[in-house]
Amino acid sequence: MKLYFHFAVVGFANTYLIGPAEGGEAILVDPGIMDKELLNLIEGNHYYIRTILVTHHHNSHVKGIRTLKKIYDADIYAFSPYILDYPSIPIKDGDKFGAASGIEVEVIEVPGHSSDSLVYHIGGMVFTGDVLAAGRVGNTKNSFSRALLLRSISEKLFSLPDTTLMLPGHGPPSTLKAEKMFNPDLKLLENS
Amino acid sequence: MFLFNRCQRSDCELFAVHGEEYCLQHVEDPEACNKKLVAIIHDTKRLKDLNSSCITVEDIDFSSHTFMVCNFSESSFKNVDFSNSNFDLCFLQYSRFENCKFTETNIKYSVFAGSTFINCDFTESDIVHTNFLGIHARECVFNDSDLYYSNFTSSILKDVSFIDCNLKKADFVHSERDTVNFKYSNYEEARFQQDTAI
Repeated sequence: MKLYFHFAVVGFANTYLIGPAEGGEAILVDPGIMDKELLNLIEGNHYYIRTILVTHHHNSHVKGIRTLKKIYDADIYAFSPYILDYPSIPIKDGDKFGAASGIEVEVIEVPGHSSDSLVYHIGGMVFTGDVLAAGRVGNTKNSFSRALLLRSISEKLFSLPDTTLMLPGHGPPSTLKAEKMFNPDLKLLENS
Repeated sequence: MFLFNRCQRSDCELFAVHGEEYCLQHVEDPEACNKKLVAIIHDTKRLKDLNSSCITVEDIDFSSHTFMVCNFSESSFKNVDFSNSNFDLCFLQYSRFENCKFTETNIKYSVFAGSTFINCDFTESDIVHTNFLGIHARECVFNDSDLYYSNFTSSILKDVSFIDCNLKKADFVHSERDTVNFKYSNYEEARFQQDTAI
């Protein structure tokens, strides 16, 4: 399995491409934009996008789907039944499914930043969207949502191995161990 | 992507090193394995998917190398020259870097969280989207570097120089800074105070 990273200058968001080492059917996580660089990344590595994973329905994470769907016959997986105008395959906490090229995906529901926030666990990696980024947690509308988000991170994400690589929707990658140790937003968990 | 194969020892959570079933601590001859890994790195200018966590490297030239999706976590580097090298999606967390040269390097999407840097030089480097969470840095130089979207949250920085750097979207929240110089840098575009917006 190989992982590629694409930075969308619109929305400053990260898109991840995951596929077999030799090319073939691949997964895109959060296509915030479909530009020439992302197309070159996909085609240059001999991939065909069969699965699109959406962490949550915010523009900086889904806007590229309109163009992508014109090029690739890809299934969209998300919490919501519709993403933009396209029907998706609705998924929920605990679901496990074989995505493109049989890559196993586990769904973890982490509400708080938005009601439809999902985290995808693939191999030793978690794709956290806006739930958790290096050194910070996602913004929330109120203190209830914030408490819910912190509790969900603690119970659902931090129960995974410390060595799990964390690939967020914005900013640099991290590991769960580094977040537990150094994320100041999560210090609130220790104090609660 | 480097393989996520765990060390075969049931009580060990570390990754198995390149070409072995065990981590570096649990292979039959750790010293010989360390030596073999250092030789591979030295002799291969373009390294991809290499897992060599917990290695010890001293007095060697790794300049002008390309490291792609490699794991060097919990390692020790002393007097190592990484100048003109490229690091792309590499994991070097919880490592120790002493007297290391990173001048004119290109580092992106990499993780140095929890590492210690003593007398390291990153002058004229592009270090974008890189994670320096909780690092301890002493007598280090980042002058004339692009640090776009790099994250120094919860770090401890002493005698560190960021002269004429691009700090747009760089993060210094909860960092302890003693004799840190941001002269000629756009520190107004960096983040120093905690908020919640992603």
